[in-house]
Amino acid sequence: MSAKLRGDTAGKTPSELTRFKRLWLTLDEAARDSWRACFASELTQPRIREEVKRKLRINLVDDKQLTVFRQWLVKQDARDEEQQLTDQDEAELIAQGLTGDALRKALIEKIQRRAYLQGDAKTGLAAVDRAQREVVTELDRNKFEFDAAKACLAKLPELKAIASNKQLSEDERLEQARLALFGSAPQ
Amino acid sequence: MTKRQIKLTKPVLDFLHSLDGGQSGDVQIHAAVNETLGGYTPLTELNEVLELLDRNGWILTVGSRFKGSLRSLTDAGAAVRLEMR
Repeated sequence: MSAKLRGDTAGKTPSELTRFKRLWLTLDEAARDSWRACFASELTQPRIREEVKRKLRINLVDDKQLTVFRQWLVKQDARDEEQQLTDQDEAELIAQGLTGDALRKALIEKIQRRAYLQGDAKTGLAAVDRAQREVVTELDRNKFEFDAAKACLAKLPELKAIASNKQLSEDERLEQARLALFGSAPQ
Repeated sequence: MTKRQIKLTKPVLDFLHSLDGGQSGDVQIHAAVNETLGGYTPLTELNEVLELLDRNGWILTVGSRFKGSLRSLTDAGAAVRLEMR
């Protein structure tokens, strides 16, 4: 499959906008802040584009490209902020002793709850839905354990007889015990 | 790549593609994979796939400012994503 999936991009040159986005991700925070200040200044769009061209060698030919970049930047800044919050959450959860999958599950739940509170209904509702399903599963399991314990007590003499029956193999004993507790399996 | 790895690759590339050139942390990627595939994908499986994609040059991994890493889609990754459709 990997031979098939080549990811061949020969002959394709990225657009100036794409180059700008990629370059942005490599800038340090001081440089980013300086550009943010430039974007928020009273400079006109063409003047900002000139600055970008002069300092970064990115040639945005019209104002719309700059607008699209700034819209993208708002989203990327939000993702960066979310990443910082996730890092904080992770440190807190690690301090509580969580590791591995338990830690990751808790982190995912936190980002989904945050998304829900911030109005990202799609992501948030999925989290709520999953949490509800987990509660139902937990209740089902608790009920099953309770029923099983009740059945065990009621059938204790029978179970003892099955356990001590040396004529039965291990598999047969398990099957007999299951039948005694839960009856025949559904067809 | 195993069938399972291919199955996990698609939502990873799709999610990074949806960022339109942006970067994302692993937790967000993991959440998106779970969302797409339904159920929870074990962390070790996802990490294996992310490592593989990085080795193949399909995603770019850089250290985040604080801890962990941030991933973005490369041109090669974008092409692979299209090949997988």
